Amino acid sequence: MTISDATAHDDVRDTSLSDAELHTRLTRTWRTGSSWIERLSSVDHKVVGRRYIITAFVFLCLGGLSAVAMRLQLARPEAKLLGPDLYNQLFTMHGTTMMFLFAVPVMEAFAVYLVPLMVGTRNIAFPRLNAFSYWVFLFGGVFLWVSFMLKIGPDAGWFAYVPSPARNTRRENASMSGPR
Amino acid sequence: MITFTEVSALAVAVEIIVTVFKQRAPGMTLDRIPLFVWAMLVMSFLIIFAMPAVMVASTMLILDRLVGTHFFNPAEGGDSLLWQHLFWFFGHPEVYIIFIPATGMVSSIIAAFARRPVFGQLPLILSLIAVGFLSFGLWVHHMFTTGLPQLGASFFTASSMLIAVPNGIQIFCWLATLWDGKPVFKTPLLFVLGFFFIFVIGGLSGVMVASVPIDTQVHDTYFVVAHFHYVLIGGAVFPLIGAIYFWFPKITGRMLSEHLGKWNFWLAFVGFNVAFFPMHILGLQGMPRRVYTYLPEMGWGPLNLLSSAGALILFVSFVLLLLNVVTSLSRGRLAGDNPWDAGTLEWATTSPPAPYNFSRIPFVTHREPLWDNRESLPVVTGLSVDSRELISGTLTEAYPELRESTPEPSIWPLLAAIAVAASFVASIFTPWAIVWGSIPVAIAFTGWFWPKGAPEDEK
Repeated sequence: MTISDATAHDDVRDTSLSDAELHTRLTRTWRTGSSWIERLSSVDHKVVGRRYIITAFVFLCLGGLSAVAMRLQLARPEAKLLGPDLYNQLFTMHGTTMMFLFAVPVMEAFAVYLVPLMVGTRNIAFPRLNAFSYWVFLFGGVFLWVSFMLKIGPDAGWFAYVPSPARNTRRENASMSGPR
Repeated sequence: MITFTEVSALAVAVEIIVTVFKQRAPGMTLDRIPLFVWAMLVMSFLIIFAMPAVMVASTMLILDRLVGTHFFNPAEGGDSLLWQHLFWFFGHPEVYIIFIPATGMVSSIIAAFARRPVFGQLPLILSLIAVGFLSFGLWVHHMFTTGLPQLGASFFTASSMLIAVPNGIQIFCWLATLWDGKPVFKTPLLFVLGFFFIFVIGGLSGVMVASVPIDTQVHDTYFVVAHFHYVLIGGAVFPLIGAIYFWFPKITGRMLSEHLGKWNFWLAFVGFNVAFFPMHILGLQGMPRRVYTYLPEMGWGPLNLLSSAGALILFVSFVLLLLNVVTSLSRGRLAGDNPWDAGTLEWATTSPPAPYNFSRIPFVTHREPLWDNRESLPVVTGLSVDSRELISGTLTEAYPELRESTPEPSIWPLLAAIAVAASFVASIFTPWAIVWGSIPVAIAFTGWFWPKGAPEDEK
């Protein structure tokens, strides 16, 4: 159907409405409801983008705190604040978090929020896939940090060079997680 | 975990590409697309070409561990260097996946605060694309010390130095814009100026480590740590903080405090340089990365103490940013639609934007539409108001072709994500999780795509 196509069904177009009427009806069509289930179902690129930005910044805080812990350890020679094992986990978590859970997602987050606005459209393409990608990102990040809290965090550096991660049993699995 | 974020990044990349190619407002021809959007487009293509390499590599690693394949096991004919190749084939473009969007943010901020369109739109777009291509020819420079043939190493040295050229072009275009404009030194622009200073230093140390003899000397020392923090924090985090100050009013409807913003910038700038500059010297003195402590007689104590002090200052600057965001959310000055008097379309709608973004879709006549039409934008009408519709147009000219319906909210994406996450996590313990996990995943996707009998589907 083209734009110039005459109104085939009885749908109302934005051509003839006043500004106030247009606002009411478009809001009814496009808004995200306020109940829990409606919020979790949202496919609005602005709602998803905002969640993405906030989540990425939470991971920035976690990555930043691990950096502060390492700098405190290194401030003096032979400091006893962190042992070698915890230090290995921390620099791995710092790198992994900053690269995979902060830097790339936060850039995507800004794209998700701003690109549809900048090109002048009403929603991103494939909005449900967009919601899905946010949830997958959230679960992945939470999973990595939970395995760190359980003291099975990865410790072989963010690039996980073989063979050292291949020797450690469960640790890098948490980092790589999942054949696909 | 990596596979999780790859899946999500690939999904976002596809969405961005389709949005930019098909959903642009009528009249937004290729040369009228904002530089920010161009940058995000190039980023999306990089994601699509780079991320599969690391997904393949991590899958092979998991297979090695769970089902006993030997991709990376030299004892059985595998190759442990293969991991490094696959990882860095993704890992180097990854740096540009982070840096290229940051350049888009810089272009937006500079245009708004230099009070003129960015100088050299075409060279900027071409250098974005050039950086995108070249970034795939650099990965071996992470592996100079693995004993690769000399010829290969020389090639990657040359390409590593070559990528400084398009990046240099971008820097000069931005400087020319500021030179010719009437710069307004608000917080976002300060962060961009900090970006210039720090990123150029990082670029120069990058040219140094691009050369094999120097890299062999400083490999795995703090010199490299200093280099990539200059590039990543200078090249991406500074523009990003600037972007937060710039777009916060659009997203929340309120301004961030300019006073706190200045403190935030100067603490971040000083703290960053105090924290990371000494690492260059420590690296040249031979201090290795990834070692949890060092002996007093090495003489690295004072510089490390200085570096830690700088890290704390940097930390305080982020606490200030958080404080600024939290207080401004409720008490910030109201922003209005276009607080910076910027020219691109996101400033044409209300702050924060209504759920439908634009009450009527704008018609674009210029690169900076809001500067071209000061009074009101020309608009396109004809979309339904009672069902979710948007305009789909041609690739180059954005000539409107279709009224396209777009999906309603749905809980199924969340359920599908839970099903996928559960089977990934369970696959750590047994490979059978993939087999059994595919059942709930299939159910979730079936629910997701169940046809609703919309009029469009019935035709």
